[in-house]
Amino acid sequence: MSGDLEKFIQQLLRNSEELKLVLEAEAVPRPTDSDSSSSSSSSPSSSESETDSDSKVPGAITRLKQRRKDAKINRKRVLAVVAHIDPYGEEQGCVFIFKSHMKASTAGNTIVQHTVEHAFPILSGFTIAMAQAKRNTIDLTSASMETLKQPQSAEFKLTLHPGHDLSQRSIALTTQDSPHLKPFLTEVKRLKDISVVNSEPGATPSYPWILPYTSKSKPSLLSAEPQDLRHVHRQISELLSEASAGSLGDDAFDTSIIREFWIRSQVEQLYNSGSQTSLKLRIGTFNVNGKLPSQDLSAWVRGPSTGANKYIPPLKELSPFSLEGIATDSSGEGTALPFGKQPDISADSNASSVTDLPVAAAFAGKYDDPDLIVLGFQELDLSASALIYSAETTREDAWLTAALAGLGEKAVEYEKLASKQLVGMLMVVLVKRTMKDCFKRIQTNSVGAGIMGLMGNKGAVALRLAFEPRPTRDARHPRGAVLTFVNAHLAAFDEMYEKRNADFHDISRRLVFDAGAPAPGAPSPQAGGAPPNAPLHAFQSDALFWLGDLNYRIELSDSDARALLADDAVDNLPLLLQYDQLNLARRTDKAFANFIEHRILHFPSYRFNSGALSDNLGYDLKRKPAWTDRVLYIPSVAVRVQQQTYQCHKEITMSDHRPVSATFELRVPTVDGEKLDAFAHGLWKEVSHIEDAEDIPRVSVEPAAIDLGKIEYHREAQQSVLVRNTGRVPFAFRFVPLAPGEPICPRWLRVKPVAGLVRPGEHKEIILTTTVDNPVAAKLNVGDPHLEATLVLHVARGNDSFVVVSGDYARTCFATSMQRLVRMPGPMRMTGVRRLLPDEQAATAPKEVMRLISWLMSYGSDVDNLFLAPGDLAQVDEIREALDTGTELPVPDSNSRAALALSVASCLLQLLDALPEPLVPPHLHQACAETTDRESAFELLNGLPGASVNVWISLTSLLHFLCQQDARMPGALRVRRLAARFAPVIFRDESALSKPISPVGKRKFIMHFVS
Amino acid sequence: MSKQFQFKLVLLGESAVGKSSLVLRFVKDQFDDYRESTIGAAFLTQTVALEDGTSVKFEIWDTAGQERYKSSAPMYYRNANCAVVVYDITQSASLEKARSWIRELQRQADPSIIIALCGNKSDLAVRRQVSQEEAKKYAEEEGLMWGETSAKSGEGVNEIFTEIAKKLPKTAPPSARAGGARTGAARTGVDLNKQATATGGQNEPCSC
Repeated sequence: MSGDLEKFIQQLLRNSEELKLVLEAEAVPRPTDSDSSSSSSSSPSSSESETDSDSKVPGAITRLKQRRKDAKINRKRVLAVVAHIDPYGEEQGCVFIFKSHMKASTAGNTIVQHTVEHAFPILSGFTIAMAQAKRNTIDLTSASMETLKQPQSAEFKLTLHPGHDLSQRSIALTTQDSPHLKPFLTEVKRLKDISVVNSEPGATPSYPWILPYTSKSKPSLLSAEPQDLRHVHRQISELLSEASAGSLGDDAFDTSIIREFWIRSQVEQLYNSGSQTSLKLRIGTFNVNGKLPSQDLSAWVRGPSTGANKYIPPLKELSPFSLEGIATDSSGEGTALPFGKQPDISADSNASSVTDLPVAAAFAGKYDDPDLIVLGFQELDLSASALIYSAETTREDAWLTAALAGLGEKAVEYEKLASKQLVGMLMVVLVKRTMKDCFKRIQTNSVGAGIMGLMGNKGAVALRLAFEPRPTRDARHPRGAVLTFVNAHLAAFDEMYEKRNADFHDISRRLVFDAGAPAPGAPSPQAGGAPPNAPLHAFQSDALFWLGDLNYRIELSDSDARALLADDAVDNLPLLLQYDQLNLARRTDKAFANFIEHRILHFPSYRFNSGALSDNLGYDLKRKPAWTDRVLYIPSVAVRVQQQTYQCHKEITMSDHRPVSATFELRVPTVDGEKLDAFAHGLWKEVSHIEDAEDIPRVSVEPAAIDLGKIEYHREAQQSVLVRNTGRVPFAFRFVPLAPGEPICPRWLRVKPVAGLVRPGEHKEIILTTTVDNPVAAKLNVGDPHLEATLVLHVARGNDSFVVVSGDYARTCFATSMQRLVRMPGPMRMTGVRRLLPDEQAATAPKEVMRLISWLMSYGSDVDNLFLAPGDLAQVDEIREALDTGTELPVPDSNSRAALALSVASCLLQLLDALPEPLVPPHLHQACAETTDRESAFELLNGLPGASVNVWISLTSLLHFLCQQDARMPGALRVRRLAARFAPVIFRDESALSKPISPVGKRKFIMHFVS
Repeated sequence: MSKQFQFKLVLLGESAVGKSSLVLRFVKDQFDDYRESTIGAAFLTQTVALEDGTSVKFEIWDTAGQERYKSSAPMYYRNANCAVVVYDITQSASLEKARSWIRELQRQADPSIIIALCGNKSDLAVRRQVSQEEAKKYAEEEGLMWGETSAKSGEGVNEIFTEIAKKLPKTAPPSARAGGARTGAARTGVDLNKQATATGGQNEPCSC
């Protein structure tokens, strides 16, 4: 019997775990509980409440007996000590408690199944208390005669304590399995001793391998509260276990991840298929510097609807720096925000992004009054006494009155919904009266992060609410959305960048809301999940808005920042924003990872001073201007967020900050909550058992070989592969690399999705996209042009399938080093990859660059906006092709000349920007930027490689010549704009902004040659 | 109380010699007359109980025989403890291919790898092109295990895997499981004569 049991249990474990010992036991029935102490209500025997009404009915006694028999089985537990060797070779142990279930088998008889009910990691605090139970009566019906004969068959009571700060409760069990009890406890002790030796003080060791066993019964997606937004936005590839061809990862763990992503993407489709409820939201943030309201706040509170005339579109939308495809790729980031990761909500999300709509365009139409106005204030009160937490509300009242006054005649339509203050931080939420009943479960909280990490001079106040749209015919109880707003004030001063990041994480960790009573109709938390009353994080929302004086500064010298702001020749905001510390933090995942911020089109909101202590723009001379006041957000599939405005209100001058506002339209899917739950649970049922299914998954991957044909620079080509489920069970698949630690495909290829789940009879299309950007081209240009890669698609519990992808790369002069270009005996594509001229026969400058410059000298010198306006993309491609094949560049006629010239100029800029090393080598950048006169600038040229000097001279001669021409644009202005255009190309920064080199200095260096 | 050891086993050999069929017979005691050729690699496990009370769990990687996938084979025999190189006794060319696999393994695989040469399709002895003597002699020269099998009839299949299991070193378990002094689970392993019956409904499709 015991041997069989061990076999059963072993089969429930993964390969990576070893079953050490098992022990049979019984759960101790609690008086208030039914026999099935787990909450699995699906178990047919657990509904004790029927007993009374049933007992009078004939046949009830038989049923009662049956129920007792079932209850007996329902009490049965199996304890198992399981060991796992972690990647560092350390052994970890866990005590699993398995529950027995009776199941009707297909053959008609009942069989016993075991599922994990509890899992106790054997940590240093884990204990099992044992006591011999006194038995007053001998239960002849349950104990077999054999048991009675054995003298050692005493009953023991075991109490398992999880120890430490684990949220699990203790479990009491009884066992008569005394022969196995001692070895069981010995083994537990051995594993506990290991745990004690390995444990580090203060740190709770993680036991991630246990997760797949316990979390399986409840994906967080199915809980009543929203998922953690940080989790939702993680890429599936970051989460999957490490695996490669021929070495298995953790199939069961991967399956649980893939399944969760799949359910989420299915739910997303449901969201997208139905109607949506729109919610208009206005957010404002204002550091009031201790002042009391003394000005009209209407522009900030109400926005542009107060007289359409007042609205002036923000700065010009298109700047020379946002020209498509130019000068942005190599650094991996565009000048446009949001950069980096778009919210890729699921593994195979193809939802269009609604996040980066140009402000002015969206705004051309009418502006609706907001349904909700969220105003965040900082430094409400600077007096010393305010540092002590006080409940005084006079300042709040003053600002509330001012805000309502700012709404003008609309004020009567609004009322205060909630507010929260912590010392100087205040959040006030106004709601349209007609919408008030749609906002429920309003909660507020605050976190101090100032002096001693607790004082309230810095920190955050926050508000969480549930938006429940009005019922519709299809959705009688719309699920709605949970929205959270955080108004934070982070550490001040330029050099406190790290502290601000730490403040963000500190607030994120400590800002919680009481879970309170679950919402009516919410599914009860299943066994193994978080306890029902665990506090909710700010990130457990459908959308999170984070506003406030975040205090991030510009990582440039004071003089550079001011010079760039004052320069009216060029829109320098995108450049300045590259050096913004908050953007830096987001780019490097130091803080605000996955948050979205709309492109900033306004000037810095800090710090202003009136009078003699300010510069021409009004900025305080003692503080570097900065975008300290910001509004960011994270959406999810349950709330689509479209930002319509993002502005700074310079006309409100009472503080040293200017208030900042943002307007959003939120679209909340009008999905019935119960329908959604039923849908998600239905999906869950369908795929929850795929790890243990008897059938082996069957997959067909077609085609097994793909010829991509010609693979070209900067031209994406797509092909697809179908992953079909030809078997009888759903399966999870993922691509694994051929060799450990490598990517799943070479860099010239993209595979999407990288993992998925396919139900029987269905298929999933995998899109393969070739992408050759500059770093990839730099490698491919010097290698074998025939490209081939083997993709390995691994099906959990099944096969590895191969897809061989091949193609022929068309080499190009783009992303080829200058040293190589001068040694090419002919055009790129006409010359073998290994044929290079000896050094002494090398050209003085790359032919490709010189051909473009001489064309521009001949045909382009009088074209306005040459290099400043973008060329035609198709024409640029044609010109590049001509350079690579050696055919003639197009000769223009009088009609096409200007347009063609812009394209040739774009092509030249791109060619220079694609160079693996910038025209001026990085080690000279600092010296160049510090050059103050023309003579030393010329001297620095001696440090350049020969070919670079020749290109430099030809190029600057061309630019100089352009600025001499009669044109609509004054020469001096043109010089400045061209210098601004070429500086980031010629002095391309590869490294992060650890030690930024003055962009103004770079421009000046170029101007020494051009003007 | 038995000890279990775990080993990685890889199957290599020319296309269509019956590698997948051999594994199917060993793991599931089944045979398909028509099997599609493997594109990639299949992973299966099977446990063999030995007379000394220990048991050996094989993690089997069944690779594709087609030439175009040859470059990926090293990923599968990397870290393998044993390799079964299969040829078809009715195709003398397949023995040549097996020799080249064996040379590759001797050159590139783990030096301690145990290699078994396996002549499959012994039920088709009337069409035999590779004599037992020839193959056996080669195996002896190279220090390989050798046997003939029929995945179709099952003849010799369990024997060759059991022989490998016996030969594998049990002194240092490959997964370096520490403290395995008391391995509680009394695993019965596979009964070589009677298979695929003992799972006891554990894996019945769930009806919930």
